[in-house]
Amino acid sequence: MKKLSALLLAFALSLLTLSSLPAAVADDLFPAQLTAQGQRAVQQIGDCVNSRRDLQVYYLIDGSGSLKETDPQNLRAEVLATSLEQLAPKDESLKVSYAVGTFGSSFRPLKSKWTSITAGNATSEADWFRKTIPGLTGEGNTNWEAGLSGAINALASAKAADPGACQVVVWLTDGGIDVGKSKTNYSYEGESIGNICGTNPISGSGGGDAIIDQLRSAKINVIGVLLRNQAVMSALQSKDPNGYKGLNSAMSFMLPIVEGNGSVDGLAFDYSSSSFRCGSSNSAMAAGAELVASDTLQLGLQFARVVARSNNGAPASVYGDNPAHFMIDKGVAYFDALIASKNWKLVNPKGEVISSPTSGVKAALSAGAYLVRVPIRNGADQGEWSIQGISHTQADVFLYSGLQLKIAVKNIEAGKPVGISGQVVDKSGNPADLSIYKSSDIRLTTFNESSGVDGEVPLQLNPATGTFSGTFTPAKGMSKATFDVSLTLVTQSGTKLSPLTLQVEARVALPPEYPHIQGSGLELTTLTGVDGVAKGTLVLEGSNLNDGQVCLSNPVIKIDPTPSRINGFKWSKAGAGCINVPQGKTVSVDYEVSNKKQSTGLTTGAIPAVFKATVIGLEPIGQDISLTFDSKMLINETKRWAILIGLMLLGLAIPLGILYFFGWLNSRIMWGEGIQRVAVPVWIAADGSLSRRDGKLSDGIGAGAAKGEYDWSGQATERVRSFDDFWSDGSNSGTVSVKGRASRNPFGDPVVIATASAGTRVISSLGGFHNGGREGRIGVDVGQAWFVAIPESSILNSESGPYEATAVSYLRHDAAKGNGQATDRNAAMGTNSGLALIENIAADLRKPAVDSSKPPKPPKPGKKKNGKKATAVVMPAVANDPFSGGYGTNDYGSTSYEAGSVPQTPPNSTTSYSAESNPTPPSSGDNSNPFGGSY
Amino acid sequence: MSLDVDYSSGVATGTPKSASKLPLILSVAVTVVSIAIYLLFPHDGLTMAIIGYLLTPIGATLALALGQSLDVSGRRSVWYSPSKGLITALKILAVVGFIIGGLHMWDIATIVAAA
Repeated sequence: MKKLSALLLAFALSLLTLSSLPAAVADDLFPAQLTAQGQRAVQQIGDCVNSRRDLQVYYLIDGSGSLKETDPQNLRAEVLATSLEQLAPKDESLKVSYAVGTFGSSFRPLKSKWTSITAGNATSEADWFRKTIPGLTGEGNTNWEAGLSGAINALASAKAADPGACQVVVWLTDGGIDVGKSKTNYSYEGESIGNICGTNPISGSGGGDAIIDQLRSAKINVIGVLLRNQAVMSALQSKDPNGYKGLNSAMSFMLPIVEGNGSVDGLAFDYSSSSFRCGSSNSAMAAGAELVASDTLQLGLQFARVVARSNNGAPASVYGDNPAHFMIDKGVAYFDALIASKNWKLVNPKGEVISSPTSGVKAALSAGAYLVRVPIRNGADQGEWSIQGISHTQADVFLYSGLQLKIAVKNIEAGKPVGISGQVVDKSGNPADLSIYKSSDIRLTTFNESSGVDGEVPLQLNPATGTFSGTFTPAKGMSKATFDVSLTLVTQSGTKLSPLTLQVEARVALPPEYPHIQGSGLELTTLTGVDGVAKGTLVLEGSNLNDGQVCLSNPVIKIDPTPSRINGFKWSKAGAGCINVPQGKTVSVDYEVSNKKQSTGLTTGAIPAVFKATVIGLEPIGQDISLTFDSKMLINETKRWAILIGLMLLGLAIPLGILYFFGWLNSRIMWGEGIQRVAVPVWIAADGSLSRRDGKLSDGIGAGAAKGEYDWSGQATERVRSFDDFWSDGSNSGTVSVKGRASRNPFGDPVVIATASAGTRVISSLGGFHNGGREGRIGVDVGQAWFVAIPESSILNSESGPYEATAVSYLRHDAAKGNGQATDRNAAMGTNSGLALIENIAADLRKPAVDSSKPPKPPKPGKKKNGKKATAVVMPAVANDPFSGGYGTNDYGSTSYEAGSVPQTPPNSTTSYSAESNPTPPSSGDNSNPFGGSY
Repeated sequence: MSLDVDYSSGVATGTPKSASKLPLILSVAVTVVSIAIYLLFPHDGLTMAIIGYLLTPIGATLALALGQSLDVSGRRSVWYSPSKGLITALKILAVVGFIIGGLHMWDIATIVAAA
């Protein structure tokens, strides 16, 4: 038994060692807990939100294809959705808004309009994440630079619209930087990190201004969330060790980017040091926090912890296993419990079940973890709580006092003590009783714009009434006093609640010996349009005690709704140099600014100034004079609509022109290249049925024109605009001119018209009754075309048909089909409803002439165009043409028929033919009909 | 007009050929790029708006014209199988292109009218 125990112990120890080795390496590169810098970032967010009660969260979400592997169940969508629900303010004192962008190979705004989250819309807004994020895997690579730049622009615009808001970027990614230019060479990624951090890890050279510093300087906290799926990483390590090392190295650089400094694996970039500094960081800048999660459950837990801490939640000590316990003391208004288990019960000190996954206070489920917020209703809720069904490691509890700080600061003058007083209030706005806490400590910390923390000022706190007061002396030269008031509370059981903080910014007035400005700053009129000018007058008021001087520098624009135009402001009037301001007098300085680029929104800036008093011993005081004005775009509506209509017309005309031009190009007829032709003497009955006049059958393949009767004709590789078909069957002859043109329907096929010569009517393969049957349509592909030419005389000579006619058919030779090609054509002709047009043609011929002096104009052979030039394609007389020597044509003139094989007159009701020599045209559908539908 | 070529053998040795997908790919590409330009770039830049306008409707129409040309010339071969669906898709994309082009037209008109 001892041996077995020893073996088990050894096995457990070896497992522990194995698992802890890589974990030890990973802990430096990918810390599982928030670092000190990360905690500072969370604290900053909490402080800012508590002070300003206005939070803008920009979700910058990785949309790369690798997410299909690292998060196949799309749990990140649930995590982000729940984070949004957690951020939703519980009352109207807090304003939270969010926008979303994604990045892969480039940045793309997903939800560019900032949307306010309220208790009412939190769920529907969160559902947007649930629906949208799973599909976000097609953005390409992992270009951090593009993503961060996009977020900066989005937040700058939001800042212009709401300058007082706290701003946070939640940057979620699942992989290392990958700009997608090379799979083996990381120089491009090194260059990109150089742009983000100001230092290229490969070359060590500076890349100019660091992109990340723009965020830090603008007091934008970055929460970097690295989803580092352990299973995927392990699989990659086995499959592609070098790829794993490269990815691991590239991932490790997220920590210094987010937090300013951190351990890295420089392998991919040949970077030898174990840590990397990215951009600048000081206490006046915003801090960042990196969360590393090995799976989405961890991610959900981590994220929920950060949100809870950002909301000023203080972590409570959770102890014991099944049930786990924690203490709720007096002074705790509510708590959040984050429970990573499926089955649990939250029980209050009285033994009442307050919440479970299915009952009581509603718990939100996010990526496998439950989050429940429980208000402390009365004394019954104070004491030891328990969570049944879990161990203490499966729960996090965050405590909230629900208190707020209110402060009053008046008449701050540089260099002079100023009284500060304030009040601590509870969630109902009533004065808070701080005596219920074990200890309460309030502090005031002042900040200096350039160096950060300036000093600490003691405040006196009355715990019973919740009031506090103190004295603060802003330093000389300060134009703005910035200080934090922080209240730290410890409950009776010793739990330290998160400090309540309030950040205050107040303009520092100048001492009375100095000249000063009238009002709080310079406000210009609205800048409207490109020719507009924003005007304003800065009024300098002299001291009542002595003369003074104000030295003005050029105005500086800091924030504009269209950042790209900041450098385009032209100051036609502005104060410059030192201006004397006599005692008791006022001096006006005009300012006028214009910009050729228009925008809409608030522009802010400053006029750096130095105020001097002509009193010995008083030093000049530098202060920025605030500058604001609105901009409004001026659009000439008439011009806009005229341009729009013009563009739309052009947008229609150009495509129509293109289509017509191509239609014209395509209207060249596809002659030649395997074209065969046959001309057959036929009867066409009044109902449109055809029969051969020569009585021939088709070489054993049934009635109709056999494939062997087709001859080669009109071979050419060039396409022609037109050609003439001189047809003759011995007794009748004529010309059918074929000409192509672009269709009037821009989407239609080119139109090819077959026009019969004078004295002949035509029925063609695409039908249509045009010009009394003198014209018919065939397709642009002659290989699909046929026509039946009917001499007018044959119609006039026979009252009810059948009429003598000549069928001409073209085929594009397909050796593979053999005789079937001709058989198919016979069937196509015989079943074509267009043949019935013979009735219309006959009716047209027999109607009384309206104006016989204007016969239809015959076509003009010889003036046709072949693509670029006019060409007439002439049917050749072929030596072996089965029709050439029989009833075909020879040199398009002489004809010869074999005696006895060709009927000389048509069969009709008044003429009888012998069966041997004069075949009567069969009725339609008869198998003997050469073009009947029986095929 | 020469009959020197033995077309019976030449035509018989061909291989079946379907309609080219290139025009459809081009049409989809220009439409997607045009939408991307509209969504990704700020609407105060004339250059991108003009590029979008050139892509749709003009680029999409060119793709349709190309498709029609290839289809018509392809029909010279007995081995060619025309695709009505492809031409219909190109026509739909050309119409869609005009609608997307309208967005770029609005941007161009606004920028020029504001300048």
